[in-house]
Amino acid sequence: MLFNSYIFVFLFLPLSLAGYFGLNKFRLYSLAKVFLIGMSFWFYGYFNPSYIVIMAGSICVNYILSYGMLTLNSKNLRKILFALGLIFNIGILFYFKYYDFFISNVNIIFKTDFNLMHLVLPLGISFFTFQQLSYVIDSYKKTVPKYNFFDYALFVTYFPQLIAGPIVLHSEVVPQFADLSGKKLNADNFAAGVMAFSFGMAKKVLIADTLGKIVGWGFADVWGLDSTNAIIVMLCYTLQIYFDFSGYCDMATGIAKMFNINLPMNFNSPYKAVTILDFWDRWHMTLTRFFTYYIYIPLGGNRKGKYRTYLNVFIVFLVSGIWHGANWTFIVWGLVHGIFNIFTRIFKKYFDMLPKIVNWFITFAFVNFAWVIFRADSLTQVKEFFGRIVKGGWGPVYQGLIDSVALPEFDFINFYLENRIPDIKLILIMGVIIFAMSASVFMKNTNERLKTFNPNFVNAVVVAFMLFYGIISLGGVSEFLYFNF
Amino acid sequence: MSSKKYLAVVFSALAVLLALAAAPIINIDPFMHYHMPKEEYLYSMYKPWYLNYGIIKNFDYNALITGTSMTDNFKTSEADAIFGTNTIKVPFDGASFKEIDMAVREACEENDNLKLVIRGLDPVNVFKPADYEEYGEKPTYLYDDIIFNDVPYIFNKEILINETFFNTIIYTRWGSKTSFDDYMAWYSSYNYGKQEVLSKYTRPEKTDQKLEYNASAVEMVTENITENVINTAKENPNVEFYYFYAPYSIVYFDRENQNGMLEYNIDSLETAAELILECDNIKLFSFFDNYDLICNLDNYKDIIHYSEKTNTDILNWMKEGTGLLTKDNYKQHFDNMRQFYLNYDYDSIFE
Repeated sequence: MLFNSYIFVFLFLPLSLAGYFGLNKFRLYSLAKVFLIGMSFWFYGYFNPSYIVIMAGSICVNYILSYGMLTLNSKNLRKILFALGLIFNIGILFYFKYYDFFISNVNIIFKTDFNLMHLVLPLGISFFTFQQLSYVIDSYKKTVPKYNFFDYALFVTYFPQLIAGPIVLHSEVVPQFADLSGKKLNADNFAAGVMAFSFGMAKKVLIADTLGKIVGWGFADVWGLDSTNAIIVMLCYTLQIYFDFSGYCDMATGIAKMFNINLPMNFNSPYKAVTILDFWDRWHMTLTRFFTYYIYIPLGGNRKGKYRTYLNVFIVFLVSGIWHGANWTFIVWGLVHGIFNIFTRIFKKYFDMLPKIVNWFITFAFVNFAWVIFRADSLTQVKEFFGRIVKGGWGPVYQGLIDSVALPEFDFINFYLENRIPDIKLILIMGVIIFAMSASVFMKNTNERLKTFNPNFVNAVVVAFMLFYGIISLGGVSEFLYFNF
Repeated sequence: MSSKKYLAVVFSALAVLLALAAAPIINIDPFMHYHMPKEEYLYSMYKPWYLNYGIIKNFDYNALITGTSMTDNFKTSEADAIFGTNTIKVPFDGASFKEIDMAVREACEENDNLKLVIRGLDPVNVFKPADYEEYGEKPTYLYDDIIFNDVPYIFNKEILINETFFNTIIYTRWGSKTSFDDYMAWYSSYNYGKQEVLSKYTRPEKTDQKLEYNASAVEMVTENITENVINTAKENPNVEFYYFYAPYSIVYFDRENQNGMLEYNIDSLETAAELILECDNIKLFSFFDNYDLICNLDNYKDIIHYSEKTNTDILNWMKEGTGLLTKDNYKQHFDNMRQFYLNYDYDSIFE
């Protein structure tokens, strides 16, 4: 199930809130947790019920292994359980996410013909596997308390953060669910949650999905782009991925807040970053944190000299690229970021001499180009795309780009203003892009808004309107194209 | 402002805005989900997967024509004149047997006056699994009477602006009423003839391997026909069902022949006929022995779609009993088909 769906907004969320707070009101605290776990399984299995088995199996195995590590005193036994935990989690991830990628590369290199599995990737598997890995590692280190099974299951399944993060640590969530003061509906938290949810929905549904239409159009025919249109498409994707992902995280933050749970911040206006190091301190922060805690620091971090630091940074970004998807594009994207990160560290003093605005521009431009690698279907398409930027030639915005944004509200405005303003649709599209760009660079992000949230009438009306606009934008009318006709 | 007041303002304002958006949709009802079309508006009817269930539920009729695009060009006025009925047309382009049967069932349940169902059976759909559906996400919220799942209909800016405003309110200013003769009809938009048909056809390489019509194929056809054709007729003995195999062109048979699928096609049609003929209230028609129709590409715009004249002829033929299969003649009919289509000089089509 997605947050940006009718069933979630009108049925699932109200039911979850009513059930959770209703059971807590009667002091049925454990039952309330079980109810929330049950709802989370419904949320997770909505598109494909077989996913539930995978997640439930993963939770049970990880809990048993962790329980063993926390209970046993034998170091050897604990080591064995730890190894099993690592193999199990990485194995699951490899099997579902990377098996076909690995086999297809083996087939290419060794000219073999092994069959591909064509497995459907379970939603959010990278997120819940990493969350559990963190618990397994901490259990081995014995730095975690022994949670009961339901607390552990709720930490993994809690639906607001289940399929797209943030990647929460057990220590952040489990104590909050145990806190009795959070068992009662709190109007202050609920209001703040509604505000965050409305901003997230607007970011995802109104901005990201609109820009996504241009991106989809552009990447469907890269050869057809000239420099002007390729750059617009690239910028649109840069904005789309931010508004999409951070919008979804804002919704998660808002929903959790309604349950009196604070999720960690995942985005801190990353396009305000003035260096690439700064960018990674602001973008998908809980993933960066995970890699820092569980890969970078164990590798020695920056404690073993600068060359070892560079190597560690490089490894972290390589793993990050692999984590993001089973395609060479993601791996190259990770490597490119790693290399630029090291480059920035080496030439730090020169970067520091540049005006802030120049550094911002270099960072933003680099991130833009790197996103092309991330978005492309293949490295060949990356080459094509950059080729179009360099050699495509400059011209007007294509009509195809304008037509790709087939929003009914644009058609409505166009209907009344077309005779007076001929290029009104283009103006509206550019308005969305400029607004998105300005919002991501100049405006406060949702977490900052939450910190300074002060309920007032104007804010309430704005929030209501954003919710309304988001809700009526959730559905559409499909074409049901009959290709044989 | 306290948080409680803030929440009250947010949810009150949201409720008002949603009500304002829903009101014109519910009132005009562009997909006829709640009521008949309003007299004061013209509805531009062009989205059958959204409209057909509303038509089935809310219109006054006693006969219904349905099927795939092979039934788009039927004129209900002709059906009314020929069968003495009051007919609606609800075609689902590209639909599977299951998807069409769901609509027929809905009509039988909703309309006690229903007397006649005319339905085209596409040969390509005979040998598909019983649960096969051509389209994944359909607007099923329009297919039932449950109010709670109408949220995607009434809170939807595309339906508000495109369907309610542009395609109904604005369309009323300059459009014309869509009759059931015109609804989904496409015949005037295309050219017909051999050149036209062959220009859209890529002849497959001839294969020597023939797909075997084995026990599992028979089982699949049996399940499909039983669940999606026969059961509805058996459950509605007061309704008469006129079903016909859509007469695809000779080029379709060439394609199946080239693909090693020709005998498989004919065998599956025969299995289906054998099952259907056990049902007393279904009349099954086949025009595959009308070689003047099938082999004359002037009747077609592509390898399967015939012109509207054929739709008219089909109505008349069904009334006259031409092409009617019976328990006595169907075996001969399919033997004749085998004799003709397995020995046809297909290369001559391309000369």
